[in-house]
Amino acid sequence: MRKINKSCNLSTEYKTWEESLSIPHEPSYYSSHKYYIDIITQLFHCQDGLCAFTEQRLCPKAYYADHLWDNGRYQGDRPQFRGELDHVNHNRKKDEAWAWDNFLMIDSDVNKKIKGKKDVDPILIPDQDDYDVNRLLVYNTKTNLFTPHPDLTAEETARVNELLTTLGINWRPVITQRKIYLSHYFKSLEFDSTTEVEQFPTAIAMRRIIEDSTEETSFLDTL
Amino acid sequence: MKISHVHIKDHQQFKDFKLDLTYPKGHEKEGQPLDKVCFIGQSGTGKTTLLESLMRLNSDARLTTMIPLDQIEITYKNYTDMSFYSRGLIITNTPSGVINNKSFIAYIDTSSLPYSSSTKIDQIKKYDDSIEINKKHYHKNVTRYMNDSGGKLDKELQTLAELYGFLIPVYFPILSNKKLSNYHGDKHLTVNSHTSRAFFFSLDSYKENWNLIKSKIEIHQNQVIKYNNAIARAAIKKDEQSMNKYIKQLKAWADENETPLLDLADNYLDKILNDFHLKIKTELESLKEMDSIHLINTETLETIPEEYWSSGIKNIIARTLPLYIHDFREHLICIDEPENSLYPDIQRKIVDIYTSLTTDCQFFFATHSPIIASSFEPWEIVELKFNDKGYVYREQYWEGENHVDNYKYDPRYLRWDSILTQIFDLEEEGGAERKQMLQDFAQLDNDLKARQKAGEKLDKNHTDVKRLMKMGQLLGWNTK
Repeated sequence: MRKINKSCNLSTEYKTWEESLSIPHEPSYYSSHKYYIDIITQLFHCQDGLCAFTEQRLCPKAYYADHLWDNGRYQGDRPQFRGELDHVNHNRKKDEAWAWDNFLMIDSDVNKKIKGKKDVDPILIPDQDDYDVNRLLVYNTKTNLFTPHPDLTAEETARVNELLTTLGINWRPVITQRKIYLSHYFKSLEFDSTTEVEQFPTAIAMRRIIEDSTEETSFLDTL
Repeated sequence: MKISHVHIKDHQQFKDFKLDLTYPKGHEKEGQPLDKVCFIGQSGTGKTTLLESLMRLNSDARLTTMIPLDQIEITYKNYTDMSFYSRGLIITNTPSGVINNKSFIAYIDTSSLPYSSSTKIDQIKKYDDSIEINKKHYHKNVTRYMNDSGGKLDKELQTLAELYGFLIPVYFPILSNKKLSNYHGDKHLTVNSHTSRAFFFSLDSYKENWNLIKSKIEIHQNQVIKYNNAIARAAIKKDEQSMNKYIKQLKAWADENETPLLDLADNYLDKILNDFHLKIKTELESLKEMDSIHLINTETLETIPEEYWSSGIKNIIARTLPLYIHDFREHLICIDEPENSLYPDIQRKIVDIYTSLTTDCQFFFATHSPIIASSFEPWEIVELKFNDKGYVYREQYWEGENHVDNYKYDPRYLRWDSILTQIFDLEEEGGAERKQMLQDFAQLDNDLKARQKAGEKLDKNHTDVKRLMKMGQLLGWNTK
């Protein structure tokens, strides 16, 4: 959800290989391919181990630390994670199975139960050049939902609303986890101001802005 | 004697499926079999199949969903270690329950033993030769015995005789008006039958159970009449000494033998019926009133005839009467969907009520109700789920060691809606309409905040503010 800088600066051997492929890619995609782990760990490095859409933690930081790469290959242990390598634009999978710019790591449940093979409007894909989450979304602390920013056009609002559902951002299990984590996080801040943000950084940042500006959790509280 | 482990080898959705039904570490009953177990899980995972398969432990009833005999092993714990191995009962002298030739004491083919089994125990024969435990060799009446226990044979058999009576299962299937005999297709098994060495109670067994109570009442009344006649005869003879003696005897007898109907009302049914503003009519005005239980509305004092009972009342009475009549002690009691037709506040109490009406029984429930589930400790809940291959597994509620401190859920402390989302895995907190309205609320809420920040004057009379308040009200929040 927050902007992702998808520089493939560590798994460089894979990137060189990917750039050398002609379309259609050969071989087609399979998860036991020799670069599969290189791709996943590089993506986790770019996404800081979080789901690209929901920002739930998928992988511990220990599996994508810089020192685990050598000579453009990932050398660490096979990562333990609960996400899936997603071909964001599913239509490209057939001919561009290994395209780096079409990969993101996302939550398994969201992928299986919500997103699946649906076409995804790029407006909310966080590795796009012009992507700015603060222009697109607002967090509502009363409902723990993200909503389209009030300044968006009606057409943009409709597109964003659809994606909030399609990408699992406002899916109830995610909302519940987000609500619980934010509650724990802000509680722990009262005792330890150095508490690190482990997941849901966008919701936390937006809630911080709300609290810093002394805005109430709902407009109704101002009445 | 209670079930501590179940192992289903390979049957339909079960493949090497193992259940440890003992209290976890750190519990005051650590290692002992659970007093009560609650099966939950989506339809098709096998909750009813498990309940009905537990019935096989002392029953030749053939319920439709039972797991084949050679595919299930049920282990018991208490006194001495005993296991059911296919159709037989195995007794070992090793506390661990590991069976080998040396530890093996007896193997009894339970399928041939009658309901009242103790009389047949002497048919157990002694064999001097050793036996291969896994060899399935079923004899009529019994079987084999390897004398590894020396002079303890009689004692072991006596223990077996005592224990055997505890193994009789009691089954309450999903209540419906369907005849039980149609349900399982066993012509020998009638409602409330003892012939299969198991108890089955369905809705239509109510009358049969009432007749048993009626017999008890008649015996009680006959005894009272006998005393009254003796007192009357003494009075006619003006034999004051005899009269006082009989009155004293009657009083002593009455103190020890409560009127069955009063006992049923005070100690069993009225506790539950009270929530329905009902109680049992204990002072019968005519013989006709003996035909059935009569209920009285506690507010209006009107009698409620049986044909006007609600489904919930019928279910409660159909399940409570057997518990009263048979006074089950150390039985296995299986109840499928105890929540049927019951309002939530009754569901909250029903597990405690049923378990309180028996002594040292082990209960197995299968339910779809979060309210029923909240009556259980987390280690008593067995949540069945399908894995990726379509086989059933038990969802693990603990992390790391199976210790009471390591359980991540405890339904006793959760809200009902949290039980639905966290235990029953319901992914949404409400329907599609609620989901949409939450989204609309959040969007309008954020919009109004932005407009207010930009200087727009918004008060309670503004159309959009009214709309937001109305949405909040419909979502169940106090927005006044």
